[in-house]
Amino acid sequence: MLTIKHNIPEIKNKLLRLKTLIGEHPNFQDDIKNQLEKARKLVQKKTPKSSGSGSQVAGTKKKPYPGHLAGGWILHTIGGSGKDRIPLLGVIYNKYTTDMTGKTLHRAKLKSGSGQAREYSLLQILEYGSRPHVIKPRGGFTLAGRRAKALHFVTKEGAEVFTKVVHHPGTKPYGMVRITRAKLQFWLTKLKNRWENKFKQEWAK
Amino acid sequence: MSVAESRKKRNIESSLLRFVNTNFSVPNSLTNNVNLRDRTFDVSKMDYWVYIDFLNDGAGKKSFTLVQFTIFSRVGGRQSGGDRYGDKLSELAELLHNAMHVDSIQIYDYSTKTSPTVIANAKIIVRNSNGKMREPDESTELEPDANGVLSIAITYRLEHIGDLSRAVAYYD
Repeated sequence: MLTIKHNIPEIKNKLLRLKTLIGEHPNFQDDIKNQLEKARKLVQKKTPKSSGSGSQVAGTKKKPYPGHLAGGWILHTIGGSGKDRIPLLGVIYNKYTTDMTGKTLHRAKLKSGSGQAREYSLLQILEYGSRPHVIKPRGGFTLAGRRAKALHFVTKEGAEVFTKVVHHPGTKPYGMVRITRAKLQFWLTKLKNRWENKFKQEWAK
Repeated sequence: MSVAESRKKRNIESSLLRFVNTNFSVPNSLTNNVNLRDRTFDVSKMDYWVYIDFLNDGAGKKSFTLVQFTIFSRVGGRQSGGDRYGDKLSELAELLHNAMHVDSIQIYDYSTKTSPTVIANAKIIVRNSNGKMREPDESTELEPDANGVLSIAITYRLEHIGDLSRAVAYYD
């Protein structure tokens, strides 16, 4: 003979309490959204930003970036619902260099010596660094319509410089995206553990 | 109260560099081709070389440290007769993976730079963001530069063994 003892009303009661827990505010998805926003702020903070209109304000004469790269970080969320019934997707991207799918925008692509657009942007240089390199005028046109024969920039100290060549010492990698991603992973694991414990405590009551 | 020697940034970073220099070398090149923390170092006569950059310094502070190895190869790519597909670069990356595929890395006390001493029970753990031990956090092939030099950036996530424990007393 086989006997099964069960207590359906008690299980129903436990499930109802868990459902109520999910519906509380801030709920699980609210917490996730908060973590994503925290990550967006972190990557923004970690992105190097010069005090003046330095090299990070890039783009072309016709279509300059309206601000520093650091100000371009966007959090875009898709899905999600008040009662956590719809999955949530969060994407953090830089609107000045990539679209939401991660594709490099044409205007953000850096040009080679021959003027050909290359498959990387300033953001990648800041992320992974660059080797020491030589910068020369590309032969584009100045505002007066003449061929540019020199480079023109203003130093940190405010001195205006005209030169034919610059020996750039290279850029150190800042790794802002990787640092943020690793931190986010860490925060989400902690959040998951917290919610798991909440459920376990509720179930054990 | 002073910070324990094993948690100091100087000791953690120097121990990692010591480990890399002992266990990883790139072939057919001049000496001192690994551990180029100074980007202005003359590499014009080298076929292969590696830059090491620490992106942050959280290990030993209840967080993690990310370290980037950028491996460069002048050999390989479309212009290269012997290695059109840049296989050499992948081989070098594999050598690095082999070197870093260890349970732990010993931390030394570099108070005296010339003769570092072993700190008992102080280790660095290699663990990526997904929790996998001995694996890199990320690996990205970068665009060849104007001279056709190929490069790959490999990121490792390092943790101090003490950070795996929740015991607050460890930090006292």
